[in-house]
Amino acid sequence: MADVKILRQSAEKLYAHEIEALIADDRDEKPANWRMSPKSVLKFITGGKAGKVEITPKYIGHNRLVEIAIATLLTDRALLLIGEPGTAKSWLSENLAAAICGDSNRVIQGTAGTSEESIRYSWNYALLIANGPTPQALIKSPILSCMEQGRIARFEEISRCSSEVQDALISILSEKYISIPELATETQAVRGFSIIATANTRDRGVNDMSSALKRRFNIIILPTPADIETEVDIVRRRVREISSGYNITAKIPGDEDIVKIVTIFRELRQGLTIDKSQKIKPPSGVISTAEAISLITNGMALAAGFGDGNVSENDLAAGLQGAVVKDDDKDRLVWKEYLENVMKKRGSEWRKLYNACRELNG
Amino acid sequence: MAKAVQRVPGTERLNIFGVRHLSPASAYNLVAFLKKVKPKCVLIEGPSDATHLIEHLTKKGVKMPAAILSYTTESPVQTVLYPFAEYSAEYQAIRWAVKNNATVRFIDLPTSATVRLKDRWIATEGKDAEKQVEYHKTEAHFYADTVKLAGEKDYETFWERNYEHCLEMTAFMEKISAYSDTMRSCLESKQWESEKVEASYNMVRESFMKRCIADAVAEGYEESEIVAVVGAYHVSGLRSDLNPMSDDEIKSLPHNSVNITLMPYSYYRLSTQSGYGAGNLAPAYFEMMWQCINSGDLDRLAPLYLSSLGDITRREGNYNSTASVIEAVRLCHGLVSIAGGMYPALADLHDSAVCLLGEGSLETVAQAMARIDVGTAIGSLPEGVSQTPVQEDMARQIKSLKLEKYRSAVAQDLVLDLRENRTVKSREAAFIDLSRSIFFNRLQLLGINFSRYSHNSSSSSWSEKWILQWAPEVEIEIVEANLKGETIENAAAFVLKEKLDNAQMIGEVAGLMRTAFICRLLSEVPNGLMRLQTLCTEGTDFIQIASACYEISRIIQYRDVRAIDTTPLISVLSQLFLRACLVQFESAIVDDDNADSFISGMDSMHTVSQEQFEHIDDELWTAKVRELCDSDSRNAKVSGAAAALLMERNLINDADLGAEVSRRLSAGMPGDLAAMWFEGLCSRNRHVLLSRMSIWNQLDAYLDNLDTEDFRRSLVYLRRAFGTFSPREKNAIIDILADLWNLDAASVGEIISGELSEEEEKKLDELNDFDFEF
Repeated sequence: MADVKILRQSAEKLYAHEIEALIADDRDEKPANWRMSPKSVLKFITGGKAGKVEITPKYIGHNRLVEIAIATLLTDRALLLIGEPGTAKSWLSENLAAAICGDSNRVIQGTAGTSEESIRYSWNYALLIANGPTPQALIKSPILSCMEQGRIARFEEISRCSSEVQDALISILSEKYISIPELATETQAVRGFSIIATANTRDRGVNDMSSALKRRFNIIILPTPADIETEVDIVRRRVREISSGYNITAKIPGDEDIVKIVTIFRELRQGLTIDKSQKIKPPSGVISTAEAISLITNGMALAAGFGDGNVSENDLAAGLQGAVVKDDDKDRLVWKEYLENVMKKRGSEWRKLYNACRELNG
Repeated sequence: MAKAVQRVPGTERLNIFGVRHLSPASAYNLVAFLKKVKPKCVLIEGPSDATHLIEHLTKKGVKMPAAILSYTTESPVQTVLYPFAEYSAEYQAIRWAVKNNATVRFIDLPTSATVRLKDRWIATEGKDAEKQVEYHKTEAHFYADTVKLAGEKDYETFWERNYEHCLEMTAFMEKISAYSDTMRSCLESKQWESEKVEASYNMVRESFMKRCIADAVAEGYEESEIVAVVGAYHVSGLRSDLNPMSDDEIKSLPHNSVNITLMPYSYYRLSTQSGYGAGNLAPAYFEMMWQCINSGDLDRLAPLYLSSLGDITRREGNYNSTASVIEAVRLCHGLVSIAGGMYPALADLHDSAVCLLGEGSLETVAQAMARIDVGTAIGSLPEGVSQTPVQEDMARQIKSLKLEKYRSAVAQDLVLDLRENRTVKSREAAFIDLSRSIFFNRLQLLGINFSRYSHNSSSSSWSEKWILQWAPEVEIEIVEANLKGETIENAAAFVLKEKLDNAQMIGEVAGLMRTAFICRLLSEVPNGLMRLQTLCTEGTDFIQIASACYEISRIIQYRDVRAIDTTPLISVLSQLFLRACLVQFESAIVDDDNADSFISGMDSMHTVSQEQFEHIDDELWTAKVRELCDSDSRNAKVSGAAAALLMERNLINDADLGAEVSRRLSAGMPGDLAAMWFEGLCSRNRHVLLSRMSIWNQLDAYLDNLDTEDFRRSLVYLRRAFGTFSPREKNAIIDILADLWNLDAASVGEIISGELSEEEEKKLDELNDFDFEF
């Protein structure tokens, strides 16, 4: 099994049996080049049952947004997912691509250095110099190859790309073809082609998207989880999946610890205690659900590697310290205030965690 | 008759059409049904004592929405409302029946019985709150489960997708009755257990409706010639073997004396009413749907809705292209295909609009959505349509005062110029703004909130600003005014008389006198004057008398603009003013809490003495003020204010004032009294205070001579007195001090307005605990 060595499985491999079951169980009509019907895609993301196979929910709490996303892809429009860091934008995009075309790896990972070639096509220069422009020398971008095959291409962190690169997308999205003048041909998109892009609201200032480009997308803003129960649920599920994927041997922390972590995260994020009785100064950074997940898995890794296999208060406190105090002394003060004003007063169940946190924060 | 009652209407042949109120599909399918059956008699679930209003509802010029309003003729007034929109099934049935010469009647309990029926039961049977909560939970569960089973997002979407989009008559009838039967079988027995009042109410209504149907049959209509239009929930009740109500039972119903009338209604009000029917959350949207259904093209609804939305957002300054609207339409069809419906529901339209026109955020489109969902439409009833006398009077006056365009759900400003307009010919036109003002003031007196007086930036006596806004509540308030008189004028006079009779305080009576003049209800003036005089001779309360003076002075002040004769008021004013002067010194023994109202009384007197100088004894007034100023035995703050008043009128010279300042602030005076006095002195015209150098000289000398302990003591009250000065006034003080000390203003300013050091702050804090008892 070569797969065991892969650090992170892509969604279509991780949930291969679910996808198979859904395809086998599918009774509704499939759009061209989709592997399953829109309803099955919805079930794949939001959970349910296909035949006898339990489908785990991958995105919890906002089923309607998933419906809108699927409906968008159904109308061959490009989809743009916007949200705070850690609101599962990429996760949703990966799973949508996995369910619809069984391939979530046609990705452009947007950076400041992304060039127009990586959106259209580039050349194998050795072949180009040897034989001139030939189809063999052509290196297709993920978008170009998806166009040919009617699949879904993903574009991560689109707002990190320079505006020239973003501009190149505009005509691709409206004309749905890429011309290759060197070969005197053009590639026209086959039905089923679409793009799912993600962008970060905190990065708006980096390279603001032009309104011309925005108009070519259906935009969905992904919110932070609506209530604490949903968030705890999300954290618990993902921690379980990740720890089994990475073979971490430590025990998954008990529910009460997860509830504590999520409570702290939510309160700091909203600047308000859960019971709405007390204002809290929020720290400078973003405190996302994704971070809560990684905090707990880190704690588990620490416990497995250096501790007794049980996640201790100290492990969690170390994670919290890192997550909250990112920037400078200001965050340290915020964290201290929170510890003294909120956590300390929460009674004996919180006492150990409080002591561990206070010791670390100094 | 008795025989007919015995006969339970047949369950097969009688046509019963179940509807949901305010639902376009119900209306559409019902009309189709009526066209097919061609009944001779249409019986509608609606208050049977409003049957006579049916013909008015179909008159030319009636614009929906409108409501049937019933109200008790005895107070406390209780009202029952039955609103109809253009797309109400009941309204469409009425229109069909009138057009096709069929008999049409309401068959529900008369409002004379329903108004207080439930209250009576609750009073006799008592309420079990816990059980009620239990029942409402069961009900909520039923709805939630329905929504969940259908895989929908909420109940409205479930309803819209399954029923509003069903335009095939037979299918619709089957669907809706199947659904209501299920609902009834799930809930009815539980209702009898825990929500008995509601359950009995339902049964009484259904029994009464059956009786009305039986009556129609007894009159000779074949059962197949009758169509009964009722809420879908009642269909199985009417088909059950429940007995029609007997004559005795009808007699035993409560009978309240009620009046019943029609009133225009608004979409906004409809949308805020909960639990009534389908179309209530978004009446304007449902009207749009009704029009699309009737033009046979429900497919047009989504493009129509979204392009109207695009248009509004564009006008609000958020650019969006036609292409975006097209994509939004495509997206909502995509959503429909996932949900498995035929047409987009409102939720689909909303979500597509957010996604495409709002670039993902609701805020961008929320306002436009509200406008297009709810709309600002209000109905109207033409002249001659059944209305109460005051409603008719109101309509007449609105017309003659040319206020029709303000009869709108959107608030509008109206600035009035009360002076005669000499450029027009007729007298009415010349004084139209004055008449409007009188009209608005009368409405205010009656508590009819069509017009609100708004603070006017212009201080001229001939200008007034009003904010006008119409709402269904206004119509209800108008109807309630019927209990007080037949016209707005009569009713207002009645209210004024009542208030005058109950008023005990002289200030209150004077205020009502002013109301009498601004509402031009002069018949009440002699009565009021008499009361004023009586109260005046007995009165000893300076504050009350002073405010009465002020009110009367205002009336006299405005006599020209308001074109009224105020001669009888002048003698009353002189009398009141004299009385106030005489009781002033005696009344000035007030505690610190009342000192401020006393001072504002003195303010009023001052204003009156300026405005009405020819009618009052100014010498006496200033003498009395001086007495107060000089006295050490009256409230110190009041004395300070008296000094300020003299200073303002320039009746005290610099030397005297300087002496008074140093006397009042000297060490012999208790610190708190000195403080109060200085506060009083600062309470009036600050310009005058700042222009008198002598005061500042004295203050400076005084502070120089204090030892440390005394200085600390003075600091406390001086800080308080200066705390109320504005930054500009503080700067003026800085200039004065700089002048006094021969320094430049900037450096003084730095010392005075600079931030306090921590040490200084601490010292000041200690002062707060300073003990005056020594």
